[in-house]
Amino acid sequence: PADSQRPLDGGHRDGGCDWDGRWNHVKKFLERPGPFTHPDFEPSTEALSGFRLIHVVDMDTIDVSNLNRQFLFRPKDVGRPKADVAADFINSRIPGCKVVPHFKKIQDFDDSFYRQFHIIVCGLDSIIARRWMNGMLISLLSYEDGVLDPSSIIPLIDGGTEGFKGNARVILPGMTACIDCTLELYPPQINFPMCTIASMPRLPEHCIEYARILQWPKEKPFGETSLDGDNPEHIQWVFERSQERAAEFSITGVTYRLTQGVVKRIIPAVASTNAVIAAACATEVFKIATSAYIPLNNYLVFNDVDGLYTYTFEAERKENCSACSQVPQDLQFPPSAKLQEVLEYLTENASLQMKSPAITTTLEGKNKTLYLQSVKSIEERTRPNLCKTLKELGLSDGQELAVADVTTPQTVLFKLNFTA
Amino acid sequence: MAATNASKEQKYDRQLRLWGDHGQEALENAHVCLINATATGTEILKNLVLPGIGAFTIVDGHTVSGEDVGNNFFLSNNNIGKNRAQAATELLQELNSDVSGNYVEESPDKLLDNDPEFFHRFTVVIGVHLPESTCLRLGSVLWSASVPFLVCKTYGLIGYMRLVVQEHTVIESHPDNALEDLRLDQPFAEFKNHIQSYDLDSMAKKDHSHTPWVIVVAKYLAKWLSEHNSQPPKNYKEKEAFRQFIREGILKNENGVPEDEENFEEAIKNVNTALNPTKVPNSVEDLFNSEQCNNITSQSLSFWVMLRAVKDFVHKEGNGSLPVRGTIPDMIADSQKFINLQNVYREKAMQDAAAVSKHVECLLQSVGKPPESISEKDIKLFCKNASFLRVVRCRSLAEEYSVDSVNKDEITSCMDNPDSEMVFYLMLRAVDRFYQQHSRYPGVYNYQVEDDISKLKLCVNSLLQEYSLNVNIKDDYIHEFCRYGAAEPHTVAAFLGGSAAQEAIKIISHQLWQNGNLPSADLFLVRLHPPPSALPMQRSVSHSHTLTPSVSLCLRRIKQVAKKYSSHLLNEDFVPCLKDYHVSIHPPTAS
Repeated sequence: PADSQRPLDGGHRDGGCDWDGRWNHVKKFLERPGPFTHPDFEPSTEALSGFRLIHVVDMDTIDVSNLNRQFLFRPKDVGRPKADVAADFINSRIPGCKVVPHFKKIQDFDDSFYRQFHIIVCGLDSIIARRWMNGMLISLLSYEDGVLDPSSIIPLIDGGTEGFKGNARVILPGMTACIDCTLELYPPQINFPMCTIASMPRLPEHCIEYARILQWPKEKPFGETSLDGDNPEHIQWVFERSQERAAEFSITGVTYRLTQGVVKRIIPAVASTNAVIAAACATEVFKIATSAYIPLNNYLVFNDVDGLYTYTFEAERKENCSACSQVPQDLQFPPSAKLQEVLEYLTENASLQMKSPAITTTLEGKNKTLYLQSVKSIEERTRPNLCKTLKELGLSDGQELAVADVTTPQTVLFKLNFTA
Repeated sequence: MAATNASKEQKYDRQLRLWGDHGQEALENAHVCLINATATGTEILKNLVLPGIGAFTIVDGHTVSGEDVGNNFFLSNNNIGKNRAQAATELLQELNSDVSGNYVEESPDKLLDNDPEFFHRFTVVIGVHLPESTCLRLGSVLWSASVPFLVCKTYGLIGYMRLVVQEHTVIESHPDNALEDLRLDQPFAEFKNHIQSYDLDSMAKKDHSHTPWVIVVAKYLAKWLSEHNSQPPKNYKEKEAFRQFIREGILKNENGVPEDEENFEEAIKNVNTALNPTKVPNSVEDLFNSEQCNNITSQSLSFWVMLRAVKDFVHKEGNGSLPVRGTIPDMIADSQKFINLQNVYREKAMQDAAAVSKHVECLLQSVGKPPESISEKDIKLFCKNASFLRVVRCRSLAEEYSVDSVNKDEITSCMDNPDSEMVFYLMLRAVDRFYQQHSRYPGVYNYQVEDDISKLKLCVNSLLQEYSLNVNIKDDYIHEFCRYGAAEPHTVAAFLGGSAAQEAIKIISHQLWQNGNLPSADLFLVRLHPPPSALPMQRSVSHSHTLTPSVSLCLRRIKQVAKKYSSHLLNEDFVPCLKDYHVSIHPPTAS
């Protein structure tokens, strides 16, 4: 539907719930001209309505450890879906606001869902999810004769925090740097070497990883169940085994808290950092929705460990970004290279960082799966291909490979380029 | 009681990992005062109530207006007409039942008139949207009572925060890139003995490759010293030679090819920092020379007593050095060698802390206080953090506002660029002046905007004249500040809410470190819209297609490990680990 048919307030223009002075703090920015406003800004004194219609997607339920910062939740809500509780709270606290909850994964929705929104704001807890959303919005872009149609752009505002550090960014898909353009900005998560864990532990963390990675699969203490970090009984088991391991090597420092932290890969979090980043994101939503000011261009970092530090820079688009450049990605390998090498490249390359890519191609007019990990039967069937060379698999120079992965809702096209 | 503690452990788990149980204890013993429950005020308080401060008291004489409810999440429209302190307390209290919420339906001016000592009971006072006169009066009372004062305001898209604390001590500043305390330049006796227990030349390959790099450097350093007249490598050339010297110590196989000895590579890599002379940091020396350290009385805070004890230690048992920290970084080594080395440092640290303890006891006795007044635990923590101790001192508001001590130079030099954030500081001062003269803020109503521009300009000029500030304030900023009409948009209030709450937590917990030494650094100005001349502020980050340093380091290590263990696949001591080597290259980013 065209823009004119989508009122910003979701159709709740007069909910009959406004009171005198309700919009005083906001309307000045919309009614008055000023020297620093966006060039497109036009002051108007039309009745304001605020942001009325908001959809919230969250697949999680509320945990006790959320309560130190997630202020829409209370102890009585533990166990309930976050989306539902958040919606209830806001709908009752803010008259006229309609939050529609979806207790789902973002991947449960397709383009028809996301197309309805003016703006999308993310507070996701993984890079994978961010890349998926990024890919979804890129897939909604429409090009006419190679020129991007601006009305197909849905701005994406993304925020993230870790302890006392955080960042917020504004992404205009197809126009500004996307998540994948700046993948290398994110530092890698390095795990401990297996040999240290297995035979030369030095730190309490090594002992915990030993229990988690080696002892649990071997001893299967709770039957076939896999280790669940949220199950206190499981953590207790790992804790006790870790203590034994530590005692063996005279290592001190294994605590229940550390055990939980290592097993669940817990990231510390506080209310204040999240408040700052959320506020930064919300400010950008306001600017973009109203054109009152020029939005953040385009990446803000924040750190209040030592003093208060914030820095803004313009992340650049990558010319051959695998997500937004529309340029088929180059794969350079000799014909004698094994498919395994291609797989490793897709997962290890800093700009791609795929998780479990599925590689398909067209051979003799037919679609052929070269390797796929996520379905056991297909994995077993295609595993021998990994040891075969690209030549043996019948691939030729310039061959197009289609790669699917959790990091993107669309397949990424690669072009095979044989080297000597 | 146990149940409550367990559930608090769970609830606060994510923040306990940042400031520890003792930090949390400090928070739970704190009583915070908020003056004015505006959106900014309640957003700050929200971020203190959630992590579990002991208590808060809101002081506010205003009644709730329709405008207040419009931007404040902690007021509802059925509060209109009621006292704002009371209304906000209800909705803030319900965030966390561990916290005790109180309110005083009174303006701060009245309290200052009738009972200024009311404010002495608080751990920190947060004053939001205070007119200049109130702010200065309150500032003076809090300064004399040594109560930290955080002044905050949101004005249009500008956020402002000013910390006023006479003397704030920080023991744990959690520095990101601290130098290790390894004492390689002056090994203590037990460390020397430990080094001597190794004979690298006679070791089997397995032991040789799993000797901690600290030992390797120590051994080669000893050899170097004996061949260089006891002079350690000093300049780049000598350090390179030293690195090469170590490299030559790497074992070679029967074909003369050097083996893969990661511990030796670590040693070589760490030569630079390992050779750093052990010395008392200048910042700590400055503290040793301060009045509070040298003049211990019965009124002295434990920080100063412990600091003096450490100073006495340095001059006696420490032989010029601080107590040994006792921690070492992780390094390639087999478990036993690593643990043994770690224990050498740990035991020395305990010894040193015990010696410091004796000094503490003496000092306490000399001022007639019982030795238990300062716990062993606190002394140990103090010793461990001896290199990172900080004392923050801010200027008083009186100094900032006085014509005689205004920081003219700083202001003038910042304003060399008329778009620097300093212009917002000056505009906020001008706006306060406007309020004093006209009992209202500029441009609140649409019809006022145009006329108020010239009135505000007069205030700007009188401000600059009074302080003899020869700077230029562009008309655009005067216009913009009239345009704001003293609006307090919620998102800006929330941004300041997070920032100010974190500063309050630092003050309460005496952890981390704010940059309070320079007057302009007591001040934090947030601009939530880009500057008019966009180019100077923005820098482009270009992305080459090479790997980031951390990723390439990671991949290099995989290759090294693979190479190393491929020759040991038949040795049952080593797990064939190539395919098991975990490297997931995706970082955690939580919300």
